[in-house]
Amino acid sequence: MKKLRWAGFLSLFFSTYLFAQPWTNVPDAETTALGYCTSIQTGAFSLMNNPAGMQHDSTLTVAIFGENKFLLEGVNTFAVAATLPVHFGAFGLGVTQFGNTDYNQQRFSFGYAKKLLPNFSVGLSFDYVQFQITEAEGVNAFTAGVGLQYQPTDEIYVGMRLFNPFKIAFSDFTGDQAPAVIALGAAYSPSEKAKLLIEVEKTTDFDLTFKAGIAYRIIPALSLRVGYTDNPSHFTAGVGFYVGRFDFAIANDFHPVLGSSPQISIQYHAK
Amino acid sequence: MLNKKLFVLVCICLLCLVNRVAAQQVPLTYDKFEQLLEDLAPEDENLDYDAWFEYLSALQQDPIDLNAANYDELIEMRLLSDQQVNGVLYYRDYVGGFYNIYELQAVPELDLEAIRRILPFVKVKGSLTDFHIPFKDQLYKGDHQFFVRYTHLLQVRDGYKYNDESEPYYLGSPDKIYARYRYKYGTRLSYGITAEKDPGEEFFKGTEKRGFDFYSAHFFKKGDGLLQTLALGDYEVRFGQGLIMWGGLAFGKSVETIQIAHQGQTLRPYTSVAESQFMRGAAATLKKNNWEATLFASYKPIDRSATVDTLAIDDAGEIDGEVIIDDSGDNVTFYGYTQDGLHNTLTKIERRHALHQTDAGLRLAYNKRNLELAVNGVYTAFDENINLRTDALYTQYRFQGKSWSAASFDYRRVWRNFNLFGEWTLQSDNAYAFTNGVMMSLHPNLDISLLHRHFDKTYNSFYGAVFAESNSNPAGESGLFLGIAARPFPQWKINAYYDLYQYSWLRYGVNAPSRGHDRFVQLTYTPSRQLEIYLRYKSETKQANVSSAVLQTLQEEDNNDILQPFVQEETNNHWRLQVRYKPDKNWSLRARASGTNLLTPTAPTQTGYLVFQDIAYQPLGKPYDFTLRYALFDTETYDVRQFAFENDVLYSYSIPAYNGRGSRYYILVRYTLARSIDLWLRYAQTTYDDRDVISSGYNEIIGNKQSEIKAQIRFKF
Repeated sequence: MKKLRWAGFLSLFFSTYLFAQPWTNVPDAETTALGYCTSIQTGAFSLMNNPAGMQHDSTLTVAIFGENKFLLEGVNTFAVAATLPVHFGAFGLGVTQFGNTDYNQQRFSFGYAKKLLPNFSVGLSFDYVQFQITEAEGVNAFTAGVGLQYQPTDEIYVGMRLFNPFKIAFSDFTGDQAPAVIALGAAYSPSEKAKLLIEVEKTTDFDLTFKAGIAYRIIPALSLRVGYTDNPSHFTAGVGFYVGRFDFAIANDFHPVLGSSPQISIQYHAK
Repeated sequence: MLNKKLFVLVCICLLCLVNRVAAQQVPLTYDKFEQLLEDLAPEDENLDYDAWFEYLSALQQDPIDLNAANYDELIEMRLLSDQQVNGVLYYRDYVGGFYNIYELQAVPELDLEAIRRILPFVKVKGSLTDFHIPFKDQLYKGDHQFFVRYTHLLQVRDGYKYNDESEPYYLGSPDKIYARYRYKYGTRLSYGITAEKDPGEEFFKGTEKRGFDFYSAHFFKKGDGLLQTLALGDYEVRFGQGLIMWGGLAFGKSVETIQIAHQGQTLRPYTSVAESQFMRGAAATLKKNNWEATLFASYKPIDRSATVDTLAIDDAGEIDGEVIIDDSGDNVTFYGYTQDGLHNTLTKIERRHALHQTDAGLRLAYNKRNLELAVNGVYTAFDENINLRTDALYTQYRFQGKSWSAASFDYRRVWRNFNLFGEWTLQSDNAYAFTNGVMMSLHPNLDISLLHRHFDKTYNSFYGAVFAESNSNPAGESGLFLGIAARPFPQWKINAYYDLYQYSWLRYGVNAPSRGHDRFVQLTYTPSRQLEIYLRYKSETKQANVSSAVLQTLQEEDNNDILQPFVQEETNNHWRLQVRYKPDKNWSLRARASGTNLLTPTAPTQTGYLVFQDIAYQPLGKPYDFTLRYALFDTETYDVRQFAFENDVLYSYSIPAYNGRGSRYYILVRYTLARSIDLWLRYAQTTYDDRDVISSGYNEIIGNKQSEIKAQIRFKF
């Protein structure tokens, strides 16, 4: 019986993940709008994706994020993250909550990033993930991620992120390993206004995914974003507003079958 | 003379002002060699790069003197095109010799990239002192190197286990041990011993009382008089374009779409451990004015291959090379030989050195700067009859008999911007083959190459390695290759080729005369010395038998009577995107994504992917460095496996195939214990997600992990 329950849990676990790639963390609404190119992400939520991106900001950054998947009840994600730069690097802390009382998952992330060279940063993240289904025993896992970001020229940014490289198995599970993720991406930014992003991501057990995004900052306070992701192929879009020390972003993911998933994120940069 | 000095002085001043590139000395590192290798080497797991790397390492310690170098020495580096080498030599003649290394920038044929590449390996000394050092000093005043390499697989393969109290299938331990001593006086003199124990071979006991399974020794001397080169012991011979004789690594179709001619020195020492493709005996090159004569003779034992009954599947449970599986005929007499050099079972020990091969040959060449003409002859004999023809139709034109001989004529002519080259051969049994090519520099930013080849279906060669679709056995092939290299904008480079070929007879896995073509294009963007990005696309279309699984399905579905596999057209599309970046002089980063899909008319498309990231930290002046890789791969079938160069301990290189679904990482650390002692340690692990058993038969590993540890120590004195 217990085994059956676990099988049920497992299928739910994976069906949940069918909505997105497994371990698709909290991208923030800007990254979503740009086709989920997470390897070159910067800002507070880069902790959950490419921790090297935490080095980008020179002041304390706090961000919140919310998503409703496919306009369904009970499949919401909320997250909060903060990055604190210190003289020997930057620390990040974040919490993610997904689901409702029947099924939910939490992820606690802690990270450290350092600029090894002026144009080369590395970051490490440590994550504790737990899943809970009503009446079932929860499962949990510790895992880690590593990321690199570098800027070889003024216009080009390159990033690599690797998550769960050793395919950590969940506690009390049947020994099944959680997938590892590697993503390589680049951004081309010929001016302050325009940015083009591309990325390939490989998750064990899934096909290679191509992603692309374009951002255009039409006026200093407003940025328009559109993105593409395949497997299955779909578009994302969003806008960003820059108001003082706040960045607001809204985005939508247009899944061809399952429909829209609106997202919002707000980021605050301290002085 | 004054004019010349003035000219040079002005040149130097100008060049120093304009560009300081040449002032930066770049040492040969893994990274550098790896880049060269990866650009040039074909994707193959079993190539041996030692010789080339050694040549470059030797040059690094003792750079070529630009004022004394000849064509062969410069071209042997494989860092300059033919045009560029000739440009250097022409310039030297024109101005009467180099005064300074900066003058390289005055050679019109050399671009900055080429100068950067050769800089660590050339010097301007203007003296010939090296040759005047007494022979006995040359004998011991050079560099001695000794190293030992040990490779161990952490998992135990089935063939090494005691099953039901029976002895393991393999005789010895699964470890691989390699030892080498080498003495070198620059490129002038070298001697040494190499020894190797392969996995499964015994070591200092049982069948291997003499220790290692394979020993190789050489003595090699270059001179400047009548005797140009003397090779004793094990050595390699290279003639012309490799139609009848080419020892060591030969490059084929690669991203270097212009460098399609085989070039290099005729005699070289042999220091590798591939236990077959070398000569054992003596050889010499004599030179008088423009005439050069090379003679060689070799006698060595070889291994008999299995007889027909056991041939198809070898002892390790794998299909043995190109041998056909379907061996229904029972009266076939197949007397072959095998070249894998593995002596890890009693059967293989029985067959070891059961045959002997004698080789002899000569080359008579007339050499001028812009012209080389040569005639070559090679004779090979076995001590008993050899028959390489099996029941399989595709082997019907292969060699049989006791002896074989071939004559060839080769040429190389530089005429204006054109470099023409080729070789023609006539062999016993009236077989013939020829290859002719031209490399044209139409403009400093545009080069074109063209090569036509034709091989009779009875063409044979025991040591040849020629530019063709199938380098190792091109019998029956004819083809036309067209290559282009262009630099349309300062930081952009395009390399492309198209190769069209056909076979006049059947081949392994192709039950009809067949044809095919390759298309290749690579776009390289190098905005700075630190950054290189390239995008590569290659498509290979060829005909091959429909797979047995598909055939069976077709038979069942249509209920028809297709009995034999038929030939269909397959297309393999490969793409690759790579970013290489050096954020500073200590760090280097490389990220790559590559993929392949195989399209066949009778089966669904198969795809394979590989994504990896490399990080290397090689601080200058520190006693250590390290290299890391993490890779994820996912290939549906073996046909769409992915290849990627891997860093390894010094002098050991591999381009393994990533096959199946899983992840792989390795870490390589070098540590200099003392001035003369270096230590390397490498740990590599592959974890498969799609299997619980790795490999099969006697090589089977239970579990989904394969971990290898490798250690190497080197003493220099």
